[in-house]
Amino acid sequence: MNELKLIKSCLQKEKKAWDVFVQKYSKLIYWAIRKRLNASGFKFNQDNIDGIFQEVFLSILEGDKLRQLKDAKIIPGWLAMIASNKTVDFIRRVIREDKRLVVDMPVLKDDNFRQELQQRDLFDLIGNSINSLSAKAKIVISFNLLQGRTHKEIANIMNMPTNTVSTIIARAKEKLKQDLEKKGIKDL
Amino acid sequence: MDKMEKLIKQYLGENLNKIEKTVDCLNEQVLIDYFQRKLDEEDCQNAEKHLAGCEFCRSQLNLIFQAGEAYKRGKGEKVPEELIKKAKGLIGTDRNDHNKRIMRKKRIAKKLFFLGALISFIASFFVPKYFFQCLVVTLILGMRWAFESEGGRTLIMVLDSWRRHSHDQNDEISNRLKDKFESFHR
Repeated sequence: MNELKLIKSCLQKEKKAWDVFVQKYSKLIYWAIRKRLNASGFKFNQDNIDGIFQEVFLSILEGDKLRQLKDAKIIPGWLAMIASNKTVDFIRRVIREDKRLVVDMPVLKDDNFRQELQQRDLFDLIGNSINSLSAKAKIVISFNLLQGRTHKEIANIMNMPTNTVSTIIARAKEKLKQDLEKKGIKDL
Repeated sequence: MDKMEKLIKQYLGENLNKIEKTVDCLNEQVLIDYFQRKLDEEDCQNAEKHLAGCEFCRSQLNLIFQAGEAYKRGKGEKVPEELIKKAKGLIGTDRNDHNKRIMRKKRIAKKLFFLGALISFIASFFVPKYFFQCLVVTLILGMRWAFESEGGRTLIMVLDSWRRHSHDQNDEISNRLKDKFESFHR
């Protein structure tokens, strides 16, 4: 069955189409939920995942966001995003209810205090330098170093040639290096 | 990886814990449109401006990209069967089947009423001895059929409404016609 027809049939609450849909996209939704939970640092258990999983399917069934879908290629992206948003909503709800912290902040020990302060100063410098980069360069750098995306993958996401991505990354690094060197940090 | 890269990564990683969805965050449609290059230049620039400073939206964009790959490769662990079954049950089979069965029964009953009324009506001519009995049965079954069917119900409602408002409507229609004729003659 055509993917868009499948979605349409699901929104019309056709049982057979819904069963196919659930079977087809369960793995992806499960993966997206786990990914967001892991990234948030939230301490979760299997019951949490189960609850969010059902919530995602319920929101697909009852919401009208999927009605706007016109391109079948983007269905996995849409579903992953819905799963991610539902997970974020869940985390917020739990935090509100339990008044728990999402991330356990590490307690600084005296021995490490001086080192930690130096590190913070360095981070402030890097932060200022990164903030002076163009919007595109910031996104590219983040995708490359934080999310671990290759130059080619970033080129796909950002719709630009791979060479341009490589150039942006090289220039950004060079600029950061120069900025830090100006502040007296030369061992880079 | 050189020291510079490590430092940037550490810095960005520090800020990762501050991932937060805010009211300014790009909505799903904008992110999808950005990913599909469907935004015009101005909207694209605005989106990039936000993306540059928002780790949450960047991670969402990354997720859209990864989701396509993950789906193609069937990435991810096996989902417990119970969960899938429960999700499938959001559109209940039993309930649907039950409703369908009731609807089918109603349709058959409607047809039977009509058929019964027709047979007893025809029988009234062939069995003169039970002429009135047959007519009564015809009437009863005919009424049941009329009440059961949508068309019959609608007809009853129309007749009832016509009976109640016939005088007013007649007057109104005749007045309208009068006006039209008068304006035409003028």
